[in-house]
Amino acid sequence: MDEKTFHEEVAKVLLIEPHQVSDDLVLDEQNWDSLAQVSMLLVVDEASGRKIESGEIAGCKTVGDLKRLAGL
Amino acid sequence: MKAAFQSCRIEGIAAAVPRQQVDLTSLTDTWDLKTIQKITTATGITKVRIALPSVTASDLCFSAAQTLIAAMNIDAGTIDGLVFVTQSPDFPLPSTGPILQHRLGLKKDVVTFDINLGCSGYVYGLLQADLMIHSGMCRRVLVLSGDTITRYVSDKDRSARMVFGDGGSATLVAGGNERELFDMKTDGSGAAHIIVSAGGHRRPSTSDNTVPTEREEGNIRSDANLYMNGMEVTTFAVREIPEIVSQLVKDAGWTINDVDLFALHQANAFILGYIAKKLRVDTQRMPFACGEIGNTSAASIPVMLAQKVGQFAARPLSKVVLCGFGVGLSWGAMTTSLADTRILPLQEV
Repeated sequence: MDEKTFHEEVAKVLLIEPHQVSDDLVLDEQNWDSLAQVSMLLVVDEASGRKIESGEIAGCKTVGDLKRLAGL
Repeated sequence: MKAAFQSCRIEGIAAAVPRQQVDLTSLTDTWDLKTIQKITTATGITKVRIALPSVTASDLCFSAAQTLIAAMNIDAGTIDGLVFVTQSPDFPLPSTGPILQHRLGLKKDVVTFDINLGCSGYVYGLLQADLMIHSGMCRRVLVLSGDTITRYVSDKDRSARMVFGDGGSATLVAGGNERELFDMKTDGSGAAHIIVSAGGHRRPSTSDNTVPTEREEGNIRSDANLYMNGMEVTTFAVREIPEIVSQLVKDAGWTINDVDLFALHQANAFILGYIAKKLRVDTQRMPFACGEIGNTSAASIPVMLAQKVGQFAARPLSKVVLCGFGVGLSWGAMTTSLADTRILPLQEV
């Protein structure tokens, strides 16, 4: 998964537009409930090619953290 | 744990749901409409069926069984096995199977017992039926699977309130020649991910643990209510189910494209959609049909079949995968043919 696609997927999960996605976007200030977190886990799973633990997603504070987890 | 049989066939399937339904958009006293819509869009569930307080899972299964036996003109005296799969028994004891045996007018020379399983339970019930017939002990087994799971759900817990519904089913399994493969799995380390933690012998109900309190994300429930960790359960399902299904299909000597129907536990559209994507199966062959019923636990697979039966006419259904997964954690999948199976339309009671 390339960075552009990742941003599009993140935007879908956070219910915002892709151009609003940036590395320093704070997740807690967005739609970041359990439903969003499980959706994000599946996105990061796919992007990273490994099985992400739920705690790893919960530990992310920003989109940049998610990208690092996804290996992007 | 794998097994293969060539001694049985599924003769008929019927399912019943309560007529009473709750439109989730009517729950605006508890949640704002935007939250409700966000959840219903993700889960694909907009309405849930709720049994009247006087109706139990065994009543729903009884209705389905009575209808099936009558529609197929089955002599009840030929049924020598009854398996009742539920997590909502009529009483703590006796088990509900004997009550159903008597109510259905089955003979005394019959093997009857309950299985306490939820979303994986339908496949476990069919495995038991196959084992009983394969052993030569039984000739025709009635598998009744259903739950009034909403009884455990707090009205103020969105993770469960907007997902679960009530339903029951009846499936007749008889001697036959269908090749059926099973693969059953268990991981009790995830027992706490779907649990009613108070009310059993480990932790009896007390005045303290039955008081609803505020939990994660503002959900309000007591320990006597059902708790579901959506994150853990979804992760489990989307990781384990594609794996068990693809391996079973391989073991059967089929390809994913050969399969006419993937009849999966109707957890929600989000989980099924992701599994379908991973297996590269279109939603026609892996349907989610419980958007106006809810996740009916042990009944969900037959409820889906009964819902979709009108659309199966154009398909042979000779290569079918059934797969249940959930509370336990417990999951199981089987291959079978439903080409000669009588599937009745969904009954509302």
